[in-house]
Amino acid sequence: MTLLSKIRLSGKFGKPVYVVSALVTLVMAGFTVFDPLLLPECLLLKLASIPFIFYLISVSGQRQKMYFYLNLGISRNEFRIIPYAVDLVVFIVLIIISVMIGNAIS
Amino acid sequence: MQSLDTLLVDSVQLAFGRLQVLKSAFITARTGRVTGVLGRNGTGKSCLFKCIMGGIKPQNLFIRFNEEMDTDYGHIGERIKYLPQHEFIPPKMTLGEAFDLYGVDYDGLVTFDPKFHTCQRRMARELSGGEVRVAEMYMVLNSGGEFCILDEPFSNIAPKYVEKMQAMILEQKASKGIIISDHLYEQVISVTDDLFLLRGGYTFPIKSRDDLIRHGYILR
Repeated sequence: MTLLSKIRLSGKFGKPVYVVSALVTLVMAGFTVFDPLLLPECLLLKLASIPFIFYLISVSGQRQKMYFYLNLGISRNEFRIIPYAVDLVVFIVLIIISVMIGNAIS
Repeated sequence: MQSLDTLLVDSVQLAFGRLQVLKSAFITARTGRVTGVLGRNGTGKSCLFKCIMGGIKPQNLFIRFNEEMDTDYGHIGERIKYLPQHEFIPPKMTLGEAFDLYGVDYDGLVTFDPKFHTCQRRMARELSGGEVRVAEMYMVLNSGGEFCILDEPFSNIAPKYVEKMQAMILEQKASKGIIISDHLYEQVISVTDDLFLLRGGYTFPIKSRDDLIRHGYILR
């Protein structure tokens, strides 16, 4: 299974991570649009939210379905890490765009 | 000509804190043979399977396919398909989607049992536990991979399905090695070629019913 198909598949097994993280990302992006100087704080808050989301997901019964995806050739580490990695990349791209918009406005 | 694959799992050690579940467990499987694993509750059968699949990280584990010198432990699911004890198709996924991901033809399940002809677009959570179990077992047995591990496949399903699944296991063993564990030991024994018993963290080969009595697994 290629990395691309694993990322695509993470849309299924990482859905709870993506939903919760998207909320955090949107709030942070909103802050930086209005005040681009808040960027360091937003980055820190985003990083701080990762362990919290990780805990929420781990107590929500995700383990039960892990074997469904392990059977497809995804490793346990990939199962855990891919959603967070993809989310972080999306966050960085969005935050850069929102800072640029914020700078243009101000 | 069908290639003969062998799987060797050896020196499995697993402990949760002070509780040593597996001390030096081993298991072997081969294409064309069904390997049974018996053991009382809590002896570590499921833990052994989860260690093989990478779901649990053991203190020590050795896996080898055939004579290959290095094994990609991380992506072992490409070679071994595992049916865990609990339902494992995500509740919001339809049976059709699950079968597509596993590369299994859904029509085969309908042929296996026509009652599934209306279930392709239904989510796993909309079906009964027994129905999901049958669909999962069919999917795992018929998906690719050189080996297949079935953990308590006969639990919670109707006797009719047990017999049909036994027949399917015997049919599928021609192309893959199958490892099976269940407390319905009579049903397990009737389809196995090799039998092991897990006790006290170790694996013991079982040759006869007397061995099971000697190890205290059955009374008579």
